[in-house]
Amino acid sequence: MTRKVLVGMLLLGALFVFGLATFYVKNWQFYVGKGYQLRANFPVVHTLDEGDLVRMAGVSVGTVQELEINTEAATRYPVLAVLWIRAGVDVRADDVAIIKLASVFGGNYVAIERGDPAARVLQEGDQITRTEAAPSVTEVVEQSKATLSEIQRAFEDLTAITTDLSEGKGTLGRMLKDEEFFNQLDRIRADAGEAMEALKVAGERLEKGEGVLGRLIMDDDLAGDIDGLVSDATALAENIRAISEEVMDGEGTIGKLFASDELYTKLSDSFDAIADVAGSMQDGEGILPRLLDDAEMADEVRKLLADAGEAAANLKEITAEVRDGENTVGRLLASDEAYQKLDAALGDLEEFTSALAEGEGTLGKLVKDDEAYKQMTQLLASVQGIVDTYREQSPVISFAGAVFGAF
Amino acid sequence: MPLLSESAKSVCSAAYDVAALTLVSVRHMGYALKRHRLLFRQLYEVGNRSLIIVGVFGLFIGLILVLYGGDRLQQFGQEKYIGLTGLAIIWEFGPVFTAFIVAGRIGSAYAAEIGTMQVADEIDALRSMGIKPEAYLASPRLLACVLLMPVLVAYADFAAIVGGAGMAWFSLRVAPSEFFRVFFQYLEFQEMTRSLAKSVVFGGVIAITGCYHGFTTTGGAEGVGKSTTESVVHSLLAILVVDYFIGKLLLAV
Repeated sequence: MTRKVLVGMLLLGALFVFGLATFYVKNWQFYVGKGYQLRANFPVVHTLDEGDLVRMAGVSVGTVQELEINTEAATRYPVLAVLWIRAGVDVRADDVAIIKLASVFGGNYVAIERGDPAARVLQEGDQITRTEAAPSVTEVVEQSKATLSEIQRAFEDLTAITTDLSEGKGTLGRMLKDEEFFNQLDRIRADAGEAMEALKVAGERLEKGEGVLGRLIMDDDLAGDIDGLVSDATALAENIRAISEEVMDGEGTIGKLFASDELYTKLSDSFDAIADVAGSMQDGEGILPRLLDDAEMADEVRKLLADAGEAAANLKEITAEVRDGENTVGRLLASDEAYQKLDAALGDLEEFTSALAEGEGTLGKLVKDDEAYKQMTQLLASVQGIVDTYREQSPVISFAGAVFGAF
Repeated sequence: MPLLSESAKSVCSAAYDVAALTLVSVRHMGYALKRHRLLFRQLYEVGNRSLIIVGVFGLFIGLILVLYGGDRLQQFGQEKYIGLTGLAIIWEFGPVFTAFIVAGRIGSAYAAEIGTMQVADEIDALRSMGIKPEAYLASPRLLACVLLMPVLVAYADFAAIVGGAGMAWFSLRVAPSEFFRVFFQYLEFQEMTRSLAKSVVFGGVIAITGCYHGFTTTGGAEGVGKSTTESVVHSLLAILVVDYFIGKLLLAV
């Protein structure tokens, strides 16, 4: 073999090697500069490939040097990416490596986003602990499909609502379209104004202490009177109860009259004795001799006199108390204060009832005025209607608000 | 049994000869510059005499690309992007088609000229006069091709893009302003330099192939014809192979 052939063969071999090498060369401008390697584990890398760019804030700062998948270890981050980062670019321990879409037509790159700027600077061979993978094109398309269908539904709902509105359906639609509905609302507003006015007048009357309720609330004297009346009535009842108890227990003269026949027996005996005396006298027996002679009779007469005296003293005491107005009966007889109070109370009651009967004031109107009742009923029905409508509309309004908020 | 067959040996020998011719030609470029008359004659041949054919070729490439590209883009309603065909011209069509024309016109001429000299023993006569035939014949031709290929490619690109813009205006109703707006929006300076760097290599490949086949011509007039044909065939093949590897390398950069 000649030297010429040998050199030619070597030349062709070198060309072949050079040609082969071009298949393995990719983005080698970064490898020839100074830099360092970092490692990052990802759950998925989509279409990320060796030689793809590493960007920080949009500036390319390196390339993906190696991609390895580890299917043996039980980890959620099986893909190990070795990133080549240009010297002078600091990646910190809190930074996040995110695989992002290069364009809607595909392609990925690794974005490094700043975390805590005060974190430690990673050195050659260190691990980027925080990693994420952005959704792939397919996932984005799927998500946007769902979002678009939701937006479409929202627009369909909005169309239905606006159609109803333009056709004058529902409360809002009627508000927009129906003159009569507006008039009703206006009347309700006027009625509510009148009701408020009436309430205001009633309040003023109460404040001034007019009428029974007003006086009840505002007049201290009347309150005192009623208080006195009630306490007097209570005392009267107490006294009557005490007397009746005494009577039942047979205490006092009247009690004794009710409870004991002793007095009767004694009186009867006395009258019997008198009859005997009279008989004796008719029989010619002299009273005096008997008075002088019969000691037993003399004792009985003395006892009778004593009992009569005690009864008289009791009566005297009761009548004295009645006269002085000390007990209930006495007070009823002696003082006209309670009578006046009762009279006044009855007068106020009469005034109140007559006012009610004539339909004065709010309560009176409630009792007498049919119009006020109707207005009140209408107002309540309208308020209920508004509340119902709001309750029906509120999900739609909330949803519409959310949709427009999103825009 | 020999380690290499005869044909394999001849291929290796040819590789050696080509490499040697290239090295000697490059080494004697100074001689070519000194003998500027030789150089200017070659520059005139390669440049001036090629302008018309390269311009017409470029123009029609632009027209054809826009015609077909526009038809496809119209199906998608994206004819406004027809300016992107300008990028295809810059990347590939300009350098490669210009190289094909130059290989056909100049490379074949080199092979024929030198081949005729070879069969007429004029090469040996030069040697006997103490003149290195590689320096006297190959170096000016190589230098002329290397210097003028980028110029011719730029000229062809210009003609193709103008033709393309005109075609877009007539067939697609896309205004030339829109055509050039899209073209310059996506064109990067790096791509222009890649294109021109490629054309320099193509120029070298054409000149060396032509010269090599001229120097290796044997067998009289018939041999000259054979060398000429081989020169063109090998030039075109070499251009495409080199284009692929250069593209691969340049894209990686």
